[in-house]
Amino acid sequence: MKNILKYGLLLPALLIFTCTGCRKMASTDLPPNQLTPDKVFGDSSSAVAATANLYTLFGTVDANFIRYIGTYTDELKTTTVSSVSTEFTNGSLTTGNTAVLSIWQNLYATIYKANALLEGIQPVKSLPPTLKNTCMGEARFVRAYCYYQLVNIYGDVPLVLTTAVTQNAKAARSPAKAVMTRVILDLTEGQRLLPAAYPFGGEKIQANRWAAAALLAKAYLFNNDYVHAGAQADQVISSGQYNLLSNLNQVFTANNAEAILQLWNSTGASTLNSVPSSGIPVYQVSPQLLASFETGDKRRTSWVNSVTVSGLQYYYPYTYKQRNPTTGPLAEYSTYIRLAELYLIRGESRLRQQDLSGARADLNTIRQRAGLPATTATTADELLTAIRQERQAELFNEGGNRFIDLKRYQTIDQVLSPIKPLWKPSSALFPIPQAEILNDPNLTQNPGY
Amino acid sequence: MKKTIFFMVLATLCLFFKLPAQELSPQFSQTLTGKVTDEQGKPLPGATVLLQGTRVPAITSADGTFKLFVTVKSGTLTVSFIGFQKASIPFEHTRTAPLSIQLTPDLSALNEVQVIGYGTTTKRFNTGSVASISAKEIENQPVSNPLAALQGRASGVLVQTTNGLPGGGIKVQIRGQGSLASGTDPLFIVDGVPFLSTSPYGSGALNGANGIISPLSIINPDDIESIDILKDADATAIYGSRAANGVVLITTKKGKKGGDRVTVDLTHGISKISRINPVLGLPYYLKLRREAFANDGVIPDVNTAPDLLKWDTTKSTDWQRYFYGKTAQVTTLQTSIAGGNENNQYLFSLNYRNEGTILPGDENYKKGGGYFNFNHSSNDQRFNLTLSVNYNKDNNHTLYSAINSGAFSIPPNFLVRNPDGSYNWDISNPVAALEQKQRSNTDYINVSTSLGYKLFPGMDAKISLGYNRYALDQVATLPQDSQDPSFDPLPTAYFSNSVSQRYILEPQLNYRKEISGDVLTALIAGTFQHVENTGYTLEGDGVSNPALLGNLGAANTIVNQINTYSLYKYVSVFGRVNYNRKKKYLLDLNFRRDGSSRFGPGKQFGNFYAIGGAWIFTEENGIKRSLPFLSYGKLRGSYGTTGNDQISDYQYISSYNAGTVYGGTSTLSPARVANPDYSWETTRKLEAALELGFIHDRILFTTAWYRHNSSKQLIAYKIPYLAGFASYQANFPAVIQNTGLELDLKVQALSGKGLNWTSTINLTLPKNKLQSFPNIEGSSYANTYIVGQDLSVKKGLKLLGVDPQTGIAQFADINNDGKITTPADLVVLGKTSPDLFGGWTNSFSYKGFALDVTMEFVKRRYLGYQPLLGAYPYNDPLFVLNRWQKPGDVTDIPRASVNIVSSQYNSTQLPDASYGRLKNLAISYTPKAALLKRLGLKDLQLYINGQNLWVIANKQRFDPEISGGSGGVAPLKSIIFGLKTTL
Repeated sequence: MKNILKYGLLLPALLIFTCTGCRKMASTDLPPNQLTPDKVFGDSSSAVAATANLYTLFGTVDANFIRYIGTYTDELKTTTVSSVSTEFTNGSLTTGNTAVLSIWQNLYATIYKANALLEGIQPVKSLPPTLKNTCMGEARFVRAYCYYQLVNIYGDVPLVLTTAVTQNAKAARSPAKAVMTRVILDLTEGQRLLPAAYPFGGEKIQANRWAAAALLAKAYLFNNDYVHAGAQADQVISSGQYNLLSNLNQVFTANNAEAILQLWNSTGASTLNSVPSSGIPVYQVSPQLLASFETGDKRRTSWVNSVTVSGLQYYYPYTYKQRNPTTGPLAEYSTYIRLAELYLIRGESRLRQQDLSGARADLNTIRQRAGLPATTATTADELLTAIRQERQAELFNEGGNRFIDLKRYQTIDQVLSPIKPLWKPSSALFPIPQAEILNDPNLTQNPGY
Repeated sequence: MKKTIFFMVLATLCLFFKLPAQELSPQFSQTLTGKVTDEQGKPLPGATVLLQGTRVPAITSADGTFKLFVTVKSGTLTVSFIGFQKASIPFEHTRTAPLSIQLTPDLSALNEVQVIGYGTTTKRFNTGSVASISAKEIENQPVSNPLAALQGRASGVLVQTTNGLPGGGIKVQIRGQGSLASGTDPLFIVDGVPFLSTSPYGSGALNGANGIISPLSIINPDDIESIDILKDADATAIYGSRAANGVVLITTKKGKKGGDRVTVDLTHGISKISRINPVLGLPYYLKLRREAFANDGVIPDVNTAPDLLKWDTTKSTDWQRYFYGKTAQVTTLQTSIAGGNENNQYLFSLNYRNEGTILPGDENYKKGGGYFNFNHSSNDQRFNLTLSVNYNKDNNHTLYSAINSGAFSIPPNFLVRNPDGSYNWDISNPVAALEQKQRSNTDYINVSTSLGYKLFPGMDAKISLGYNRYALDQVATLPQDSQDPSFDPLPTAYFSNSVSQRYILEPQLNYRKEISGDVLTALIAGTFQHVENTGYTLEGDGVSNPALLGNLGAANTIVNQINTYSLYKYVSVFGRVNYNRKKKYLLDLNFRRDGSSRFGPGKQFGNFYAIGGAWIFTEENGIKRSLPFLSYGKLRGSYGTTGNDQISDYQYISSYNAGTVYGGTSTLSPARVANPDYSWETTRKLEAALELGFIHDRILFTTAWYRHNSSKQLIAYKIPYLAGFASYQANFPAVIQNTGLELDLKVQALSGKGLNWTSTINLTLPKNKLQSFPNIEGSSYANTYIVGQDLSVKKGLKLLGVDPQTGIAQFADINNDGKITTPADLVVLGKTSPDLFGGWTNSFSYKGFALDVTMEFVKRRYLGYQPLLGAYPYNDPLFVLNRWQKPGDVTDIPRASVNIVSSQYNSTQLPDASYGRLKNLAISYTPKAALLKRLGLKDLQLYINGQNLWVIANKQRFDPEISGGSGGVAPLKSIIFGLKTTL
């Protein structure tokens, strides 16, 4: 009996001893290859690494834009016969199209990264203020870029501005107008936060103040707000930071003087439109795009190349000269915004504000660089047509510009119906991916799908 | 043998005392006294002493003595006590000295030791549901993975081979699928140390031709003493949060008392593929393809029909025999030395296995290692120590990728090489893939030790320590020309290394008290466990010299594909109280409080409990009298909770990990959408069972009914991508119910000097049901599961038939919209989980000969292999011969077509995949003792063991165990010859 008592008492004592340590024994620290947000944003170098990460999915998005928006509009044609690709060629997207989902998914995954960065960095006090501002400015810029593209492609889209998952998982679509207001707000704020110089290493692969201004100009242009669009474009042009390159073959090289924002990709820019070293190019320049070059246009010779296979000539985009994936130092970066576009935006804005001579001057700056004579357009209508034509030739295969322009000018049905058998007016917007609608009860489909 | 003697003695006694001496002499009376002891002379309190022909027994007191008042001069006393053979003792009034009665232990199977969680009991007194497989049953089977030995042996335990090649996967599922997503593997415990249940695939390990590696294949089956499978709440709740899917306890062999014995066991045998899938021969294949083009009016060209226009249409290869046709040689050697005295026992064994391959190359599998066990107890028996160390290593040379369907689907006339000698890539070339090799080395060490001390009579303190390390090192080499050149391949090699280490410390206090025939046992204990997993996979590209392909230093570029690290900590307190009243009423209470680092703050701890009870009703005098044909009867039941935490670590923490490189520098990326609120899946288990014994327990019959309700499902909860990720870890309020009936019958049909025959049958009738799933229509599971139905339901289009005029398959338009669309027109075609499974073992012995035969049977359907019907240059199963060929043909297989749309037909395939397999056949011969003596041997056995020798299944279809003809290799057929001798 004594024994039972003795050990009987010992046991609870032992248990109490072990259980005070219990919580510790059942919890672990994060492993060395993971960091909590407070650690990430408590340190300059990791905050910079998290900021650089915002851009990592753009390579995929950009590749999808060039390939699929290229074939969806009148820029490219392809030899690929997969159902994904055929739907783009025919203008008959389905809700299950994986490229449609990929664009959506990567843009929203990037938005999450930007939201997480903004939420994580806000409370941190230990970072140098300028660095903190730069990181936040990048996040604002990136988020704006994503929404700008989403609105262009899908129309009304859910406006997700936090990482609160339960709430986001039920998000409904916001009107495109409201989303664009947010884009302009983010860019204005980004412009305030970002430095004039390119941050974090000086390469043009992360936004600076002028990149924010350039995207802002595009956003205003999309909203038909020509006053602000022109003003932002003018800011960039007159910043003195950028010059049009006279050699067209260098316009897409890394960190060139004309580039405002470029995207870095580990295997180079060429994966976007690679062709086999011999044989028929997978992505070819469409007859429509080929025809849009005036005689003597140096872009036609510098940016389009051709190959002859079995006696037939195939034209393919040659803005990027590297034809195959490389692992060495990269000569070219995929270019998202460059100065030439800002001239065209300013020109169009001037035109809409009845400054015809100013518009003509901007247009001629671009034409002159392309080796073309000054425009013969005199009236406002003629000038508008000339600018549209110039945008087609100058900005092909860049950031989905053609698709946006066709809609902005309301010529999309007129241009694409004759060349796409299954084109419908509702095709101007992509379908919302079916996988998304399955998982979000409040998400609705675009008309026509 | 002892049983035989027992029955003989019993029979003799019966004859002898046929007419009990009952001379009635009412005047006479006397008091008989005596003492009842066990075989060692220790008193047995609580034994029943009864004069034959009377009804009032005497019960022995604490010192084993009894007094019985009788009114006869002579007669017979019947003395009985649980666990001992009933004894009949004659007496005469002339005798005055007290009777001394010694009982012999009853070797009924009911009294065999039964391993349970943290202790042992007997089958008779067990309140839980446990199935056991003995060393003998394992030894009879020539398998290299101990899990393969469980197939068909235990009710409620479905064992399915997913790949029959060495090291290949074996899936063990106890009482059905209780989890939607968080793993249905049971908890494996080897000598008290939890074992890795699945391949470390997620942390970088590669899958070779043998598929997902089964880590348990590293354990040598011959080192195992028993495998005990814990099923119900009573048996499993002591393992708390990890026990929802059941627990498999693997106990290794221990040293035994006696002189040193050296045992050598040598076997040699062969393995072959057990089934060649029936496919079309060349003429039928070519006819199918030509017919497909003709039916659609398409002119074949060299791109769409290289098989018809480019390859030689007269040359035919039987590809399955080409890839799997070799006979593998298997040699094993097992030696051991064991011995010991009262205080110290040891066992040391070495094992080696060399297995050739059925694959065409020089692949092979080698496994070897050692096992050491040492037990010590002090002279006063108060202190004891057990140490077991097991080290095994294997070397698996196999192919980088599974040949899979390539083996049967490539056309008989496939052109392997172009005229210039290079590989032909008109279609994927499985012959080229044979050049892609993989080598896997496993290093395994398991150390377990326990120190026990008897604090005072009845109270034992014990501390168990265990350490286990499983390391997998792999290299895969992919030469440039073995890869399809249209993807611009580089010569590539993968280097993978994953290590899983765990240690466990378990202090325990055991208490046992006997109170006038009642036994109280109590256990209180704690667990501290650490599991650390690390892994990486590197890819080395661009090695110029093929000979250096497996050398990382020779690669131009090295890409880090995966690098993982995780730490899992686990702490718990648990206890058990068991009360055995009068050997009739049993009560068992289990409790466990678990803390796991897999869950977020505030969610780490959970409580699990079980209550079990049993009533051995045949010990009730009334029932004993009214049901004399019953030698044993027990009713038992249990209810309790267990958990499942088979999810990844850290899912509750919002964190950043290494992201893609941008601008040449590394980045940090959000790792997940964190959810701090999830916790264990919980399974509530209810069981009721009836155990019966007839004819002195020569027939034992158990019926168990169970119901397991699994709730709080841990799933990767799908969220729209717009929330940033595809899913996050969460508990979902879906409930899965598994119910079933398990029947076990063991009959000692013949026993005696001549022929002995024991027959064992186990049968399981499982039912699985998704009981509830809130808002399933709105979830991403809407097309996968149906509330109220089995989790394995398969949906497809409903085939109405094939139009006899056109040969086109006709489907039911369920929503009547005039179109056949998915998912709108899908219907439930059936389920693939089994309706019934079991095994039947017959063991015969006659003199020195023994024969064991085990049949395994499963009744179920599976997703059939989908025929292409000529759409592509790939071969089809033989049953497509019955396809529609001309107007008027009535069949349910549509016409050949180059248009794959006709393959909507495919989704309607859910054929019967029931099978019966002659799982095991073991024949052995032991020479007479006299001969052994002359040879100077303690024991000698010659034997032949066969595994998977024969299968009965639908001959038209592919192997029934490999789901859907996915191409995994069916369990191999093997036969070995062995010689085992003890010096």
